[in-house]
Amino acid sequence: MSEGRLCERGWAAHDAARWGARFHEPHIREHGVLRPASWDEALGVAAKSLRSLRDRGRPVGVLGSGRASNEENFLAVALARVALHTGNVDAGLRRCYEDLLAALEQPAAAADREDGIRRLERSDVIVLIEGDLTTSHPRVAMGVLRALRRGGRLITAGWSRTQMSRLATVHLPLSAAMPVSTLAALQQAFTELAARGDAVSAGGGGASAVERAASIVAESRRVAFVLTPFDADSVVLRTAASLIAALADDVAAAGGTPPLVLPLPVRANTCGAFDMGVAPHLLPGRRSLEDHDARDRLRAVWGTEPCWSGGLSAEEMIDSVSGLVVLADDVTEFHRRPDRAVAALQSLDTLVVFDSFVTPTTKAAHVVLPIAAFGETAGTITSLEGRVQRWRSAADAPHSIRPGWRALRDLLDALGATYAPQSLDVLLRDIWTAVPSYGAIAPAALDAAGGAVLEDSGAPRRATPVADAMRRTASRRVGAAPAEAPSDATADAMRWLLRGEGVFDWGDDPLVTSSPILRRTPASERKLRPTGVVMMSTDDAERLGVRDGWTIRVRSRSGEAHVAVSLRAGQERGVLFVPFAYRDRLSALSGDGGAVEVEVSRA
Amino acid sequence: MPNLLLPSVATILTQRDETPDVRTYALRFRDPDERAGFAFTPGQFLELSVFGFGEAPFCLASSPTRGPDVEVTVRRCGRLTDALHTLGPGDEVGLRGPCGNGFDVDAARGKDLVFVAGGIGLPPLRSLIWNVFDRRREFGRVTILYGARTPSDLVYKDELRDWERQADVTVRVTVDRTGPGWDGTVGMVPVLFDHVELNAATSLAYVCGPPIMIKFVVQDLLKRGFAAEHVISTLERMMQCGVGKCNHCCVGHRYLCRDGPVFNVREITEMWE
Amino acid sequence: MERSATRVIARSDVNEWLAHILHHRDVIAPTRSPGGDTMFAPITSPDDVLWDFENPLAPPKQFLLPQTEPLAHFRRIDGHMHVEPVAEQRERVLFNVRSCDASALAFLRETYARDLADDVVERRAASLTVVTLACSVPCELGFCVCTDAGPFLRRDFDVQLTDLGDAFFVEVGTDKGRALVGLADALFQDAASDDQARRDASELAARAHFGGETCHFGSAMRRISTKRVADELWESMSAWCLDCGGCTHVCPTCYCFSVSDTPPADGCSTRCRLWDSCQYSAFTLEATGHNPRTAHGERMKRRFHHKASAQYFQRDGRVGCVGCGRCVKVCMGTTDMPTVIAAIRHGTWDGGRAHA
Repeated sequence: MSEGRLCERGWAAHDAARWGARFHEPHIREHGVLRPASWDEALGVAAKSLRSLRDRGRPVGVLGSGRASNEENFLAVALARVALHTGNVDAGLRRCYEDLLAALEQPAAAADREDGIRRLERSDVIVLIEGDLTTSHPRVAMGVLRALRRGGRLITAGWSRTQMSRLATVHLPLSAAMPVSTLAALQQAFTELAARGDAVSAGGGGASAVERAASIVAESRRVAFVLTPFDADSVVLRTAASLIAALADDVAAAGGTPPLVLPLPVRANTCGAFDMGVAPHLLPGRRSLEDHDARDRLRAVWGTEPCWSGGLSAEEMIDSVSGLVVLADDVTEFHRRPDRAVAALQSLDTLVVFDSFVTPTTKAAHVVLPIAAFGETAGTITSLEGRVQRWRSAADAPHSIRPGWRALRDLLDALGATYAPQSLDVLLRDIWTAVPSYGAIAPAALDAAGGAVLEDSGAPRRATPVADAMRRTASRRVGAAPAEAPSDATADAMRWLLRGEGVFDWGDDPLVTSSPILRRTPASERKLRPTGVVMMSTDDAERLGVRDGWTIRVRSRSGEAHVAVSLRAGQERGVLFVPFAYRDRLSALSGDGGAVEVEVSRA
Repeated sequence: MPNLLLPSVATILTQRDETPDVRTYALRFRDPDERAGFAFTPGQFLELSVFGFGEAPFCLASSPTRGPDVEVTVRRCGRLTDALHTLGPGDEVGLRGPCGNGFDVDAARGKDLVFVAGGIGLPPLRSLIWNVFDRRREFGRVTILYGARTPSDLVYKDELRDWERQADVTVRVTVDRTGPGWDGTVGMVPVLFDHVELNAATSLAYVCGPPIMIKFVVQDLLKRGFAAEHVISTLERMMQCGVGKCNHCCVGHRYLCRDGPVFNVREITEMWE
Repeated sequence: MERSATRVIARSDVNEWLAHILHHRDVIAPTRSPGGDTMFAPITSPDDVLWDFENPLAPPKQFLLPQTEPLAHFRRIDGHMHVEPVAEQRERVLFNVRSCDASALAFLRETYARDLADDVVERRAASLTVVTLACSVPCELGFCVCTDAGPFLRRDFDVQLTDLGDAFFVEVGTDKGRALVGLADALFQDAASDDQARRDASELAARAHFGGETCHFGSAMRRISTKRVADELWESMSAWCLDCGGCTHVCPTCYCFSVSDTPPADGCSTRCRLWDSCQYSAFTLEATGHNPRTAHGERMKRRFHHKASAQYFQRDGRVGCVGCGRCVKVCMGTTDMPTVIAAIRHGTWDGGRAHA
């Protein structure tokens, strides 16, 4: 959703409500099986179990979601901090966005949230660090195309040749073993160039790709950096973001317009969830836990002294709490080890799930509270550029399904919380009071078709990281290096590197997998291969004698697996990339590590 | 037809496992009038519904000369066929059709006929083969060449023996990879050309199977002097409606479900997108 | 005496006519959505109808071909399957449809009637009366003159209205249109020659808006139909398409569909026809996993072959594009109809920079 409008994906997503497997009434687990129950009974059971855990001092937590509305997420935070009195509140995949953000909350990039995409469209050069932007963030890809059409240039850095890289003036391949070394080199090249002050010579005949990229950045007036969660590894993302932040500072210092730095979240409302306080270390409005103004406002809205402490992250919660409330999300879609996450859920004392669809998470629940799907409920969401937009209800939810905000409110009520807003309007007004940047938006602006853009997000700022230290980290090898590709037919004995790709979540969304048309779109097509795939370079495939779709045997020190290959031109040789959607298929091979050495042969 | 996309209910009469993942079903329209009024030609296909799982096209594997009940041979390879394989005699499915152009049987009268099939490509040819045997005197020599990946992937194993016993018929079978109990030919289908005598001038060849097999067989036939018009094949595409509306099966402006699926090689070569 | 096919209705009487129509039929017209957009939706009062509006992004094709259309319910009763066709028979009036959209509805109606007729669509078309509002002021992105679908129509309408300021010039094209006017016959006068002259002047002015420029569909069509568009051109254009399917979704003539059953519950299920898009790579994905059209450029080629080739023109008797300009507005990249047609004509692709 962007500027108050849905793209084609959204036009078909509402269909998921009709086609998806859904619970049509609340369910509670009895003798190990889920049985239908009334709302009163289900809410009663949920409240009683959660209250009992809380009263016995057992850890409980709440998972909000980048797939839920701002209103739902605000209530999820209230559920944690007010009703359950805990700081354990987080959302899956918030982390990878914050990894990018952490290094960027600094003066040079301060106002970036505002109108980010429009600035992007007016850039002279865009440096894009991507997995595959056209599938992961098509609206941003659209911004890139507009900039290119206006005569802008593009520099891409990524694992493979993507649609965007085909349009790039310079493509910088990332190394699987040292993913951020290229970015460090780029920053270094720019620094040297700026020191010498002769951008032109560096772009000359014998220049390397990195030098050419640096010189294009140096000679451009309006520079933009777009950062996607191109890797699932937190350290890699933070380091990459720091290097880009340092580069952005250098560009600003060299006298150009302060560049745009646009970090991209993974889900539609990750920014909004963050703004609503779905993060264990922040209060609504992205305020620190100690912020007294924020505390005063929340006290007033919630009518009580809530829990001000920090808490556990999403993955920590899944591993260690006794009681968990999950809002509109499925742990198998974001957890590093989906198989373990489900096992952890099954061992919980209490699992309460609000969701529209049947998922592995709802199947493990003790109480399922069915909520309205996209298109059946109203609310607001906040885009990656801080645009707050309404989504409207186009149809009524069938059966006794309730809107998410109301179901959450009813649970707050059942828990005897001081805060349980009586209508969506009241709830919106409360958010407007609790989060000043939202409060600054005139309601009429929100009702305008495009929605309203937040002014400064008010997030805590961090100092610019030290570029040198970052550069050192950048040369850190992730896992072992792949052997040099052999020239002759010894491919079977060759050492390979098995490595996860970046976070790409869209194809997992129930709105996608449940819609008969959307689930066949290219972006979700990969998910259709139930046995999983790994990405292999076409050169490697030729050497190994396998074709697209064929099965290979992959063996590491910790295990062995058979998996189909999907061939990709322009990808680093000697590396097997595991798409995020299939990380569980090969987790037995990689243990918990990022990249591992493996042996590969034809199955 | 009351509704172009509305299926009629049919009952599964019998089922027969051809291979571990291929099964033949005999089906009968539930409505006696519909059963009586159902007419088709070999090479046409049916849209078969598994209620609640959608519908998909399957070629008619039985001959119109063998009564009003129909047979389809189905390989398990997706959601719908998985669901179909859970059904058995007495269960009900939906049928819509017949769809497509079918083989021009009259044009084959007086000709020698060469049938070349690979794997699950035999069912549409089987419809024509029985049709020919039931009107045996109208046609010349019959040669049937059939290949599958392994011996257990061969369909209609019993019928292959039946066919061999017919007058003036040559049947040759091969497998890509040998298996227990197999003492026949090993190799891809084209190797069978060396085991038979073909007269290109008097023959029509019908080729059906996986795209790669069709490609090599057609090359071979053309090399052996067959005219492109005399080599006839069936094309496959993803299909939804089967009645030329939904656009899934288009190749250029041709709709495989209406203009096809049967084309001769000249038509196929001239087709482009 | 046979009533003249050209009438006039005073602007002040239009709402009364609409009130009569609303009394007898469901009326769908461009109206303001809660979010402030213009959209085609059922109206309940004549005041809901917009007369000065930007053509809605979603075309009215959903009233002939719903995005999700139940075809039949399957019910298991006493161990036997019952197939119950979904009967939908409502007399509906589409009011203030633009010329391009009326042409598109005619295109769809003819497409579904050709060869094997789709009776469901035919019945729905028969119960639909189309009242068009001729485009005296053509829209910014439209290029209907290039595709013979506007700004004024000579066919494809039941009633065509032309805004003459104080009155509307009313052309009755069919018996359905005559019946609609007949619901409040007293409100209409026979058109005088002066009215006709004002209407014709309006059409001339509207056509003049487009200037001498057309997008030369014909020459692009010749190149497409004779295979003179290089594969490399499709390939390079496809890098500028984000595969979203937006163009096919808002296109008033796109009609690709799929058929799917709702998940069975208690032996019941509903078979639906759903809009699909030939721009999705899985559009041609077979159950075996084989996909004959995986390359992005191939899919673009397919779309434009269907829209603008002589082969389809011969079959359809029309261009598969009505020049409404929606794809220009909706395209996330730069591969909308006029830009691609220009590229095909020139044989080169500049990323749409000439149109920037």
